[in-house]
Amino acid sequence: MNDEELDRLVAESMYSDTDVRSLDLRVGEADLMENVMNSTIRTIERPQPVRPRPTRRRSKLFTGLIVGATVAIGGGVAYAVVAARLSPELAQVVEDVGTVGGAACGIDSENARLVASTISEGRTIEYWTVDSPESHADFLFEDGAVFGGGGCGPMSRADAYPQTPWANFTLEVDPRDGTGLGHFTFLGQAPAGTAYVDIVTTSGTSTVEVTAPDGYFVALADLPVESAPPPSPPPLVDLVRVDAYGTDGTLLGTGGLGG
Amino acid sequence: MRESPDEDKFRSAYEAHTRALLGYALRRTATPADAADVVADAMLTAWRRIDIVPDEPETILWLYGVARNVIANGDRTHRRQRRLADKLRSQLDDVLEDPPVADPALATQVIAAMKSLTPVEHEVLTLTATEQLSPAEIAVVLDMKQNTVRTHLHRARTKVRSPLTTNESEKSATRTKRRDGAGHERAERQSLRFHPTRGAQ
Repeated sequence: MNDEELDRLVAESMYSDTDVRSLDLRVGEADLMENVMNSTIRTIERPQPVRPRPTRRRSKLFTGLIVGATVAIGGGVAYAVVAARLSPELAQVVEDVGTVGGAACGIDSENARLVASTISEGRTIEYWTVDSPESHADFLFEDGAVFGGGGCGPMSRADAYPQTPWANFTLEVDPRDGTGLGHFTFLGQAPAGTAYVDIVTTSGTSTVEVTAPDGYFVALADLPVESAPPPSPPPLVDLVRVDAYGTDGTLLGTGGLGG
Repeated sequence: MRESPDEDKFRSAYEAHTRALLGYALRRTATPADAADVVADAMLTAWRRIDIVPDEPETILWLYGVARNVIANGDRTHRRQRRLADKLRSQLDDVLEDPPVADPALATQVIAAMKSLTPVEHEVLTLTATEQLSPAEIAVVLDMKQNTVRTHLHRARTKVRSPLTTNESEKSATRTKRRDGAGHERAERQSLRFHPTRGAQ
């Protein structure tokens, strides 16, 4: 069996583009295009091209596992990270995401590492990474339970985030709380020597102190968002950029979502 | 009213590539509904970042990359909540049938063999065989060197070919032994259920 024959067998075991093109989906396609072009992000602010390369588009909005209606007030307080192991329950969460949510990830909870934490309003948020030569994953846990979920990618962390700083975020929002605020959890990594990062989003800017080893950070912050009440779609907020500064205020680097 | 250049660019990309993107997603997700949501998320990303969407002929490569990451993120609940693709999901459910397969048993073996691949090998082989991309194009989608793509492709083909070749040899031997039992073999094949995608996400 030569390469061409093998490729043909692989192709024949799946839907072909010819199969798909023959479908009458005009109504659904037209509806989708209208919905996309009417999405609210266009009325907020045009995000800057934070990731110029076409690949590594790992737009990990960490809303994967649990998104609740919580209130987080003020910034976080980062503290030094000590060696830690995941509880069996959280290890199972990691394994599930690696094998179910991202069938392409193949992460191992044994490689989980606590890289940054923050305490705010009595909440302790932990940022864990799970890395291997061919995959990487990030998780947020609160007080030993799943908080913001997690995401994984079938590439090494070095490939996924070749440059620092980068940042990402979860967004919990419930307009019924009356604050008009989106409750953000920022996470990311800054270059060596970074004292703090300014995370600029289409909803505003948040300054986060960086104290953890390897430059990882996680922080809570509230920023204004526009959102209709549930069950309307959640608000669309974009990261514009993240700026890393040294202790003397020198700009050390600028990045985006990474990649 | 005249549309802006951004709107023109998005409409052109949407009209040119939605079906290819849907095919890409159908081949990599567990259900047509998931595929519709992946297309919606990828197109939403394209619309929100139209400034950085590359011009043709690289537009579809960029979209494949976006869709790949949408799938890898696995955040189906969030995608579903956006409800952008409600009608497309519904329509897909109505019109989509299992793909026509000449030899379902062999297709099942191919899918089983592909499960032995690493994620990158799987993606490289699928992009080659179904999206019919060249190593240079795959290198753009996956942001890796062409030589790395070729290495993954070689490994993937070797891994998939090996069990197929073995099974083919065993099947030939079985057919020889059961020269009078062809009807039995056909019955076995008819009982096989073909799954078009490579597993649940």
